[in-house]
Amino acid sequence: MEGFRGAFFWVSLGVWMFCRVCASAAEPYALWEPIGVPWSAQVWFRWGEDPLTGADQLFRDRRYPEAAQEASKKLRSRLRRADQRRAYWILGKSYEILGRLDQALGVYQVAVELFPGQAPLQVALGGVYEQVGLWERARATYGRAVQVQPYYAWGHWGLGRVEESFGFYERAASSYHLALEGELREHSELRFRLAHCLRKAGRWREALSILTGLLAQVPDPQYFLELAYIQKSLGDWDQAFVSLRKAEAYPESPPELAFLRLAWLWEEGREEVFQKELEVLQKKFPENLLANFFEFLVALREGDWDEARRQMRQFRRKSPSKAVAAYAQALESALQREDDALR
Amino acid sequence: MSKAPGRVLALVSLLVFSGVAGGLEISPESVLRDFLWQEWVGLAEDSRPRIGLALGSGGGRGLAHLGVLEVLEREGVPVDVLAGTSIGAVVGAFYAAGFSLGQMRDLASQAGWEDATDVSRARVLKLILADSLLSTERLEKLLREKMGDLYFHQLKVPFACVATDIRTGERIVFREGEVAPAVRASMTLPGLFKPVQYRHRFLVDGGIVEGIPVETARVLGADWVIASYTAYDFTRSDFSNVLKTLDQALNIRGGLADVPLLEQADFVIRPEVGHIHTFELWRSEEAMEEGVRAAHGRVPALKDQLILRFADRLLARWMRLEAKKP
Repeated sequence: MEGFRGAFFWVSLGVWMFCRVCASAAEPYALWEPIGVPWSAQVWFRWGEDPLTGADQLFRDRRYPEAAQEASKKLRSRLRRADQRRAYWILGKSYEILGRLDQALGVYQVAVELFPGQAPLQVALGGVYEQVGLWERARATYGRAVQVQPYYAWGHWGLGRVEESFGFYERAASSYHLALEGELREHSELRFRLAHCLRKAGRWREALSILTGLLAQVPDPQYFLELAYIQKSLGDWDQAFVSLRKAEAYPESPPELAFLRLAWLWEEGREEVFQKELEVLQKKFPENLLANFFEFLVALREGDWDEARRQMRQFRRKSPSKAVAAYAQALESALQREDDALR
Repeated sequence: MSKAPGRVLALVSLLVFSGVAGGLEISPESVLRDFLWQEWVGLAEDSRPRIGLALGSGGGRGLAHLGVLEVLEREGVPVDVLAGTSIGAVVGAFYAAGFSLGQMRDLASQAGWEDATDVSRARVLKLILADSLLSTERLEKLLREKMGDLYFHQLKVPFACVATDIRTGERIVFREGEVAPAVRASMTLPGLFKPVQYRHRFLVDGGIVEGIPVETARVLGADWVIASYTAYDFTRSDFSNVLKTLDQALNIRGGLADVPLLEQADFVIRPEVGHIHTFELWRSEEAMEEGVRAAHGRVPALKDQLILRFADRLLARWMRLEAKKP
């Protein structure tokens, strides 16, 4: 009996130690990875109930205030490190979704200090920094995320967004490429942003290839608009107009798309087509200020200054922003000066 | 079950990063700005206003000008004339000579003070103990090696650089002759390097008289001047010893002298490089990044200003008055 107890003790100890070693190795794949995770990796090594079942379920049910409360309560109790990380993640995400960014920031900052090697927490913190406009800190945080986990797609995506906002299109494109090599391979928004950055960096052919592939899977008006810009940059005006038409065909597309096409017709010198399209758009969107603007251009070209003035007054009256009002003011003043000079 | 956190993050990201007009990145303002800008850029050579770029002094900070140039080039903002003081003269000269921004970036990352001067510990000691000034002859050699024996009239973009006659305090503007010695003179810091003798003049850094060469850009024929200003943030400095106090005093004086020059510019781009000291050429990457960031943030305002300021030229284009001009 003594021998049996001794053997049982040593076998149990050995099994326990084996499980601890495996659990540590499994940690990188733990639950809070945003694109999810093998929860099974945690469950496999757990004895007893998951202490965060309640908080997790509340979060999935979108009951964020309760989820935050539950996660906060659990954090005050004794939790395993892996569960602590999950709890911080649930708490932080709940605050973030509720718009309580200052609290979310506080939670993530604590979590990142406690668990500096956890890329998902770094990315979550970086996301909040982005939302509050602390771009430099966001960049540094995403940089740390990809340092601790070089293949972490979400980290590369965050870094790409920040680089793009700074105007570093080449770097943003590289980050997006790296993100697409990881778990986010088929992510349409990410592919779109990559194509956009490549266009801005002047790598039009690559942008075209990516966007064409994306549109074959996920047709979207924004993507068609981007495609139109790329085709225009490549000098393929016909295809650019076709793409713009496709973008316009969606019911949710704004009238500005049609006027953009009109602007491009003017730019390319297709005067007859421009005139016909302008008539169509005037009937379709009579109240749109852009219709007044293009009417103003036509009146000027025809030498009908009274009509030009009338159209510009209407344009100015409808100006939705200071910038547009400033354009209207400048053009009106220039017209007045021209008029005075001729008299 | 495990994909929920990922979907939430995707939703938050989409909400944060979606554009105007129901999700599409288009608005009446963006359509108008793009159209007016294209029309502006399409103005005939003799109708389009000449844009000048004034590149200010600043040593290591001045490498931010490369970032500014990169963004201006990318956004299609024409640069018709260039004027430079000190490091601005070096950057401007290379750009005017036709060097690509990639080549200039590589050069900036590799070159240091030892490539442009004969600075070394021994020589600095000699400077302090025996009043023996250092020399910028290597800078001239480097310029000749890289761009050849170019003359101002051979440059692809009209360019001028500014130096100071240390004896008379006069502003000396170089617009003709050889480029290399002119740029060398513009970059010769007084008190550290020997003045460059040119005919009867003893020339040093142009930053003493014109830290931001806005007026020089106008002399070259610019109708509208963009100033790239890389000021030192002297509030970060300490004044714990004699040299630092003198340095601080010079920085304050220089900052105050720049104010009226900035007011003369039509548009100012101000990279955040105040934390980089004049001698920190090794921080070139950081400076260039800040140049890109600052210029990128100012591009919409720059385009708006050009459109608004020269609306009459757009009008003339639309009225086809250009055809009626003699």
